Amino acid sequence: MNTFIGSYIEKKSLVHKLDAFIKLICVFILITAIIMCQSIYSYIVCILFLTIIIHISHIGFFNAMSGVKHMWLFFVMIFLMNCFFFESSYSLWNWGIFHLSYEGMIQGLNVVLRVVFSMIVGNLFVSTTSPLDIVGAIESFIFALRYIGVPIQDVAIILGVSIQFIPMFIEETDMIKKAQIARGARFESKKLLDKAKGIIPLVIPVFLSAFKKADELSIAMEARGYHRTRKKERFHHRHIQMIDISILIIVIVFCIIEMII
Amino acid sequence: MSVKVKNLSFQYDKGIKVLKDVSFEIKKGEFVGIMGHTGCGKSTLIQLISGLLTPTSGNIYIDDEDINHKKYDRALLRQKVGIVFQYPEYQLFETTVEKDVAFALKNNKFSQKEIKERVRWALEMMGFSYEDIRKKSPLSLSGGEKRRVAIAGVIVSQPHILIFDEPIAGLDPYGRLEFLKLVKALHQQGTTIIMVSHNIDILCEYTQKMLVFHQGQLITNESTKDIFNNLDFLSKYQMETSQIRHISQKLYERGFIVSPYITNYQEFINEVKDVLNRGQL
Amino acid sequence: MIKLTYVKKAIITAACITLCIVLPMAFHSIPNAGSIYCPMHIPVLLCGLICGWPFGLLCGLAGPFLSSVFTGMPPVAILPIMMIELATYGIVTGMMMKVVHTQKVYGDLYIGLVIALMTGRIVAGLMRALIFASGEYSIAIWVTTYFITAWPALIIQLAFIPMIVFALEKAQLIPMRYPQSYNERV
Repeated sequence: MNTFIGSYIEKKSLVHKLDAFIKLICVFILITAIIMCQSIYSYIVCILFLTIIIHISHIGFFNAMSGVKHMWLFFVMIFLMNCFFFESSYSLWNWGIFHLSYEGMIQGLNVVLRVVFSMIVGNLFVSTTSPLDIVGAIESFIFALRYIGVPIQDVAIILGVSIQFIPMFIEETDMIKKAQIARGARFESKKLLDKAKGIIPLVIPVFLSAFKKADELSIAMEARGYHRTRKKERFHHRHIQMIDISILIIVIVFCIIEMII
Repeated sequence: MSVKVKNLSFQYDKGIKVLKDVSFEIKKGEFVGIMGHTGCGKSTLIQLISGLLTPTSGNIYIDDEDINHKKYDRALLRQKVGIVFQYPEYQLFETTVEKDVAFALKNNKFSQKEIKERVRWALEMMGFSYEDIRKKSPLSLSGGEKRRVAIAGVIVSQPHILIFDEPIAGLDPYGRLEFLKLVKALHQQGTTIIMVSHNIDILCEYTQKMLVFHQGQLITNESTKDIFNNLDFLSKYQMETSQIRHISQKLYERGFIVSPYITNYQEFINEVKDVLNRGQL
Repeated sequence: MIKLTYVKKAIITAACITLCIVLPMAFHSIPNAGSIYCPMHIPVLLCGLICGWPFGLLCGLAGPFLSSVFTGMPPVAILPIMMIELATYGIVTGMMMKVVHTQKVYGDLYIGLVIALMTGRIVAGLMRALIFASGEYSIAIWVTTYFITAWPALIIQLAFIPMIVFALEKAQLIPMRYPQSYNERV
């Protein structure tokens, strides 16, 4: 239960110093760019660009690739499915519903590379940004939504409360699990149906305890006078500097280049 | 049904040593209390004894069998050792009380008749009328009733060793008294009881022996009476003695009673009766 | 009588978001459970059913997102798809509860759940096909895999969610949907 994989690596680099909000926008733009990749040249540009970012971020190649290794089966599956099921005018080999084709292989490779690149971008973001900054960035991001009528303050409270709930719920869930194991519950049955039945003693008490906690907290909040908020939200002040803006422009330019080639 | 712990140490992944080289023995039928400040390793210890955690080093023997041995049957351990966590009411989930209490038995192939008898026994032990309660939803009971149903769900497998972690937290004074009566009844039926509590008066009243922990180490393992009479020792670890002990100290200083070494209520009553009989007051 | 006030709905949503993070962690130690049961879906569906679509939407977006930030599951690459899928669940269940009134709790829940699970999967399948593979045949494959690999999760969600709703109603943590029928059921 204690395995937080959230993988912030504390280093001093340009990527670390970048404003979290700008970085988050860059992540979205980069992923868009990666999805746009079509030709071999676009992939080369992409690899070059990512290599440069990994290099200046000082987090090391292995950290940037973390998680990719664990998903090899997923990649093989995607690749094979695209290889054999892609409908193409000309196939190299046929067997029943399987058609092996060049287009399919390329399509499969495309998909795998896109996922791997997106994962690298994601890893770069989470390993150069502390969880607190990530939450702050998201808050700012959501702030933009206020203009389309989303009650931002309430959303911020909900997110804040849910983050505060995490350690309490982890402990509670752990206790419930242990209590049921002590009563002889078995979670590791081989049969699917038994396995499903086996988790009922875990899932129902976890929800009951979570809703109980929510109930208690909401009563306490109402007693202290929390209501639906209507007042203006304070803007989370960000210190966006020239360097942030220039990086953002570079990323946008990169995205446009990817789209063209 | 003895518990023997030998050189037990436990450490979480992050490297904090929670228990350091703990050894003790609990004999069959004893009523043992565990005390110590928050974070001293009591909860870890009871989870180790009930096999929910695996020790970093050292061994735990229940009936002279190492419970962490590869060949040890975990299902057997679940039957032998019952554990009631703090706020056990959170473990309820079934649609009826009867089903919930029977949960521990369903995993161990008992006959229908046997299950029914045991459930009846457990619920009656916990002060319910079986016929009245069995079809009710455990979730819509009151707080105290929920807790008793949850405890019935643990004692239903008739464990030889029963562990309570802060069992009286959140109970009203009457509920406490009722609960302690039930624990005493279980003890008299031969169950070994281990109780973790912060409530010194209750520990003094019920336990025969105490394990006192301080920062992961077992600092004493003596009879309850000796420990709570050793005021220097207690104050060294910022611990308190019982109310009764304080009162008898005061009474002794004023010359009302002969001995200040009285820690529990029953002894105190006897002493006062003695004094009255002798006509000193 | 319990009433779901705005504050209460908000905090229940917060709890559901937390469960999106904690439940997969709890399932982590049970072999394969995470991938088979999609434990993150359950709190989102419940949140939509109980608190309505705006809260369901928030839970569907924030749940997987925060889980990804704090635990690394789901990986960033499949996060957007997951957020779209779960957000759809949250919205559709919330709307269904408003629209469907069969006078039977089971009826409402099943209709709402089935429609939500279908829509969510179709939307996610389409998005996946559009983003990752643009071949015509691939769409069909993606949609089918969405249903075939995820059928245990479908069954679990259909079976568990009414159970959890009833448990919460009995524990008086959420209001009865049809208070008058309570006595008949008991």
